[in-house]
Amino acid sequence: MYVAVKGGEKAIDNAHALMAKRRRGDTGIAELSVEQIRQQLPLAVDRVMNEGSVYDPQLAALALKQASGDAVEAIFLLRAYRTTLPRIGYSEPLDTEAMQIERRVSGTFKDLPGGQILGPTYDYTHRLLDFSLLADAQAEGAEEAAESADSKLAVEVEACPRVLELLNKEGLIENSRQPDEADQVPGDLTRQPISYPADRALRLQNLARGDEGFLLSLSYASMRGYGDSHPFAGEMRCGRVTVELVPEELGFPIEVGEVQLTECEMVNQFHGSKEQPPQFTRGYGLVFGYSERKAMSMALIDRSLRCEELGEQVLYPNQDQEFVLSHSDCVSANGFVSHLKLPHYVDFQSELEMIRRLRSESVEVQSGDNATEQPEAEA
Amino acid sequence: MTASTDQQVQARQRWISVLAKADSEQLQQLWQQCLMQLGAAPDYQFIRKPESGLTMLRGRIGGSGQPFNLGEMTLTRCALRLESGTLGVSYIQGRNHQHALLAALADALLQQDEHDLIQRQLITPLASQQRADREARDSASADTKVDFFTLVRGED
Amino acid sequence: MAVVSDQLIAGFSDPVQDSQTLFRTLLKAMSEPGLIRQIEQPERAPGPLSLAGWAVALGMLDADTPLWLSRSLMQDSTLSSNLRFHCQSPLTACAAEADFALALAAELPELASFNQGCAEYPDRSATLIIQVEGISDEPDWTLTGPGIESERGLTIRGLPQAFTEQLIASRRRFPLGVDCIFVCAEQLVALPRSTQIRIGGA
Repeated sequence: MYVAVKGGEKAIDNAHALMAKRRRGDTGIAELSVEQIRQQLPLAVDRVMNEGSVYDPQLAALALKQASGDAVEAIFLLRAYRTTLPRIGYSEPLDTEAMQIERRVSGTFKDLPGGQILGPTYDYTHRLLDFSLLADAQAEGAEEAAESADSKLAVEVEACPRVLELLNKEGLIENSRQPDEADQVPGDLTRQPISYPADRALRLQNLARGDEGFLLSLSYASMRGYGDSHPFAGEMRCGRVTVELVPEELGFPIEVGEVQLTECEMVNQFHGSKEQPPQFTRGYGLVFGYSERKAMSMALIDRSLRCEELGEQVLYPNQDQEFVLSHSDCVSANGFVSHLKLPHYVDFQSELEMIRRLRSESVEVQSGDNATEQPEAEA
Repeated sequence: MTASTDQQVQARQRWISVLAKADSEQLQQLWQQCLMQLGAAPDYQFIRKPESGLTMLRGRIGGSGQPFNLGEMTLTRCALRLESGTLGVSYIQGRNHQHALLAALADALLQQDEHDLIQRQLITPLASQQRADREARDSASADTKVDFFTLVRGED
Repeated sequence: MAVVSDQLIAGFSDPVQDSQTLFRTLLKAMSEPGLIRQIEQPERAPGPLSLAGWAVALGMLDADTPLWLSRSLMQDSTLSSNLRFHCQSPLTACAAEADFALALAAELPELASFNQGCAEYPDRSATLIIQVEGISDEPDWTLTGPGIESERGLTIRGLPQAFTEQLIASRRRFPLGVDCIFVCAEQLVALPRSTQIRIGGA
């Protein structure tokens, strides 16, 4: 029994018009421009770029405006848009060591070469609502910071080598590659669907576009007893990295622009196995924009998904590749949950009939039992 | 570029980088000034009209290990040939076709007689702006560097 | 071989429209095997390649499609420069690794050297773009199969006898097999793996 549902076009058109009106809000108040969103809600823009998996702040800001600020809807819009664009090759691997550092902290070493640079952060703020923002006034700190930046142009940022390489000198941490290892071409889940088990490169691609909340919760669980994770934040750095690629017609690398990235390396203790001595192991996170929470969660989950290759037992969901990777994507998850709003009238009707039939059958059985008993009772 | 030396390649890499990272509006303004000195806009034929797409950005596992695909970035490219036969190309982050066109034109002119003019009027001012922006960011970051106070613990 | 920049020619004049038109043409060609189609763009083709062959290359190839070229095409620097510039396809010397092959009919290797797909993913087979001496609807071959109401005649001139025999025999392995696009000047005709070929007229 299949019944096509038709009609409702007018209602849909009107619903869209109402949505547009609601999105615009009170027309007595100036409309928000895409550039304002990009400049003044940059962390929301970064999240949309990350999970939309497209680095383009203007498009992400546009998506946020169109989606009335709903991050998941905006991510969906950006993902849909990316499918209309041709793929123009691949970049050279980004050199995060050469990042122009804007923020860099370590939870493991206090006095690291290059120092700890706090950059723009909410970390040390009192979480008190700032009512001066409500009064349309500029926040007090902003002007001060701008002044001091202008007055001290000569200050240099020292070179910031990777913190974990300090441990590496003693051989206390695993190498991220063998000295003679050649680059391999990584798999691309936008070209070939993931099959399990997935290698680490594919897992990282999946995590980089994964839902921030999902990864945050899983990584939290991995430290709260649903995992064997005792991590330290080896290093976190945010800043600009130059993008290079090699066009076919030139045959040499050229710089095409800069992207803002956040990189996180987590350190985990490892008790050793038959093949490997006790040492520290690493989890890695790399994401677009200022997205520390995401980078840290990614690094923690990267480490927990490495359990099999390190000879650890898979006991919890955050160690289970298929569980994590196939449920991490907010567009997939949202699509599947949201589709329940679509007409299921026929499916539901058949279930309704089945429940009615089962109930009436059980009533019949009961009354049948009664019927057989009754004569006895009468007898 | 068939007989190019390493130095020529390096010089070209430098100006391509400056053109790619330039602010689109500043590039436009400086280009207008170049045009006045060139007399006429150079004639060219498109080999590839400005075209926007995505390039897959790659990272390295642990920062220095095997490559992985991080996510895509919008990119616009253009290629054109001047009447003299010189080929100019551009690959620019983002989706600005005009920026890609001007960068390809400048790349072509920089390979021939107009080199000194374009270098002086376009590349030098763009590069110094980029340097200043970078220094300003470094300075702002340096202001947030932590000076730890460690109490003397009487070890000496 | 490096890209020789002074041999580069323009591709589609309107890349979005023209590649969609080409795709539409190919879709029609594949869905009605043996019907000869004309391409409209581009106006010039590099080296020895036909306009139709160049159109298919511009419309279908990109950085994710490894490409195999037959001997003289591989040696033609104008063609390989333009393919690498416009399509960015990685050129492979191993026919089995290629998603697409571009070949002169006379230079075709054994059909079995191309990827025929696998039982799990028959769609991962190669697509062959074969440049031939002539295409007409005279019934040298009689075609039957999906997209052909009863049967359809086709003549492909310049295809080696051995290759024709291998192509006919390959149909026994369906759904494995390769899809062919024959090109000549501005004409193209497609023979997907589902089309049965019989030598001779009806």
